[in-house]
Amino acid sequence: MDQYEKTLEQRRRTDLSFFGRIMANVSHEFNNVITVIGELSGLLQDLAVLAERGRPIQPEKLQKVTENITRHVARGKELISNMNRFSHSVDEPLADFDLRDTVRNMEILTHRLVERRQATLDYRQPEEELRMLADPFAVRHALFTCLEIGMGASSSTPALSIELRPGEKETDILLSSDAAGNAIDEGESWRLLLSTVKDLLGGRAALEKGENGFMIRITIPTKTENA
Amino acid sequence: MAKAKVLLVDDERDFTSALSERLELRDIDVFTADNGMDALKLAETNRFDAVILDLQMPGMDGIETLKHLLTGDEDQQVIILTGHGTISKGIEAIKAGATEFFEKPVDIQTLTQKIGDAATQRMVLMEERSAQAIDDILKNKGW
Repeated sequence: MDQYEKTLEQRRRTDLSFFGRIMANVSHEFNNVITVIGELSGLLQDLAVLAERGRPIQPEKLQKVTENITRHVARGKELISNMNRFSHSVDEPLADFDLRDTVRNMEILTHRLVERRQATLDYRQPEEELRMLADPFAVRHALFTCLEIGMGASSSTPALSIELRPGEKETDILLSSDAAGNAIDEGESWRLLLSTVKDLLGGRAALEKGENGFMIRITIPTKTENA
Repeated sequence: MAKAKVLLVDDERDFTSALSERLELRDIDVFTADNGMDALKLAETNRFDAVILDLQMPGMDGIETLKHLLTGDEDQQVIILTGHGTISKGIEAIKAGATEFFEKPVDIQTLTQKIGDAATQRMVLMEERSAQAIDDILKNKGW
């Protein structure tokens, strides 16, 4: 295996590992949704059994339980549709998409990871559509790596935010964190981010450190050169 | 006979709310916490027959919470109920002192039965410790 093949193999592995982590996280969350729906329907069954034994049914109680079921069905549906969009992002190496939707897709799929890290993520979505022609999976991978770097910085409850700044030829994706800049780990994740942004998206990534936080700036061409 | 008293620890609040209602309908006293720290605080001031504990939670995770619970009370019966049901996690939890390991969702009859078993086991352990303590007093200070 020559160097090129080795690099390619390594790339495949990191991509697959990212894909696997997202799927594992979503399947865990989806299991939670099913479990909640199961308990709520079990509660309805319990109330029906008690009603048969003469305990009066409280309509408002039934309504509350069924409303909760409906809410969790919607949550499950949102998860599935986002998982589906994520899965299809590997279909084409180059696609036309709205970057706002891509970021929102990752925000939903990583919600539980962010919550478990006791972090917060604020995503300021621009009102205007932000069309791009690029590798949609690589954009997601770059976003996720950014988030991981942000969540890994040593702050007990990191406050993260994502902002999109469209330009004429290039678009900036900014991830800011309130963790002190010197807390950031510029190891494996940072190298992966640089490689994803440069090799797959034809862009660049920069790290701006400050006393009150740090910012990762990913700059990618709005239209990939070989398009 | 006194009602069994359990602590249900899970960050999925709609889950703890629905499950605790179902357990209460089965004559079990239920306390809830949505994180490990709050669970430990409740365990300090209450004696629970069983703690039903999730593994993946923000902040202190389930294994760490389990270890702290058992440091505070070595007879504490802890049932792991998690969506993250890998074999390695199960082994890790049992090695750390959990009495049972279930993957969500769990059948309510099974869970109720396990809570009953845990309450009995806890009582047996406490009686054994009392008997041992009395025995020690008689041996060492029975002058």
